[in-house]
Amino acid sequence: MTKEHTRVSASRHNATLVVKRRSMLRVVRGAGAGTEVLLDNAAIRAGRADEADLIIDDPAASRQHFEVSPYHGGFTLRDLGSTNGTEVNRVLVLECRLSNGDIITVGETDVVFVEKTDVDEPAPE
Amino acid sequence: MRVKFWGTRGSVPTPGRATEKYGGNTACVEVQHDGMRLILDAGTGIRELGLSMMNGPDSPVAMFFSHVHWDHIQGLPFFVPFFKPDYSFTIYAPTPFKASVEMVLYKQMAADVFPVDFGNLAAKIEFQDLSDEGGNIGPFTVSAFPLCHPGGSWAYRIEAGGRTLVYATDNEIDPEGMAEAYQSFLARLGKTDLLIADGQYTLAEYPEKRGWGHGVLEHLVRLAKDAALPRMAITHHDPMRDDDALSDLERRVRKELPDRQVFFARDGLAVEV
Repeated sequence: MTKEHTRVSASRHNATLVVKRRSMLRVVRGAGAGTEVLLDNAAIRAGRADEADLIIDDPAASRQHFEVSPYHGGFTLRDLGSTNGTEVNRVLVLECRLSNGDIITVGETDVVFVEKTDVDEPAPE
Repeated sequence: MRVKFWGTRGSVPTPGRATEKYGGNTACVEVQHDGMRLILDAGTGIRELGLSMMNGPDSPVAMFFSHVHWDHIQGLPFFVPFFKPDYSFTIYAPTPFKASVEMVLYKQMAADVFPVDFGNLAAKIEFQDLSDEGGNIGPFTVSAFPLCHPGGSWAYRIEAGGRTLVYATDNEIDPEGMAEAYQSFLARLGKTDLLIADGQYTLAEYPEKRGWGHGVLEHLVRLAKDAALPRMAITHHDPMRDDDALSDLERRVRKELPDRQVFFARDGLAVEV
């Protein structure tokens, strides 16, 4: 999952600027802190299962805990019927469109949704 | 009950990057339980709700309107299931309000302002009285009570599965200046698991907004304490506020109510009640 989510080309002085809107989930508290998963055009699943795209090594996590999928140019989180629930910014949610800086909490694990825009400028001629 | 917010903005839609966190669609809430769906208000949020319903018709859908100001009806002409013959809807309204709802929904789609007449919509749509005592609608028990808003507004108390949701938007509840109305509203809440309340303004803004019929965040904080509310979703966000302003206000309100779950509703947010 390394492909940028959005790519927009723009022209400046006959050169091409590529604007990339990259989104990722980053574990910031709990086991696995520092782990990052880039978000792409495919849904990713987070949970305790080995096959999860983002493994949440937390006793409160279900094997398949929540899913993050693309929606209208952004991303939506959906709880997968987890036993202990998913919080976004300390609110227990079934579903939530994610916004930059939202903190997803499962048990003692915090995962932040990060969205940033990069501009790739061509090398000077 | 599964409660999903499809539109949380007050007064007028606010599209754009500055409002994408909380959303820019006007009032619309969906409630689902045991295979049945209720729709509360039909602001622009109902357009996306309609698209989400296109996998096939479900059981008859019950619709309710708090009132018929623009931001609570303006999405209805673009609600795709209304154009499909295999969908059916019952619009329930408290008896004193029913004629007004019916008239306004027809007028909103009159020939001079919209190409399809409300009476020619393909879906089966009927209007029905909601009596003073309320009634059973599928797995739900629904009753209504009046709120304080210019021209009137109605709250809906919705019970299902042993849980209670109260939807009370467009409601001015000043505990000092409107003590009687405040106490009446408090008494109506009783045991409520989730209150969805209008918090468009702050106390600092209130002197200029008094009588406009909208909630004040500081009044809601007091209400949550007085009513011992465990959860409150604040909605009908002021169109003048961007995401940063709403985030700041949400932090302030939650700081005042640390022992309960209080949040600002966002377009697309779904919670369990």
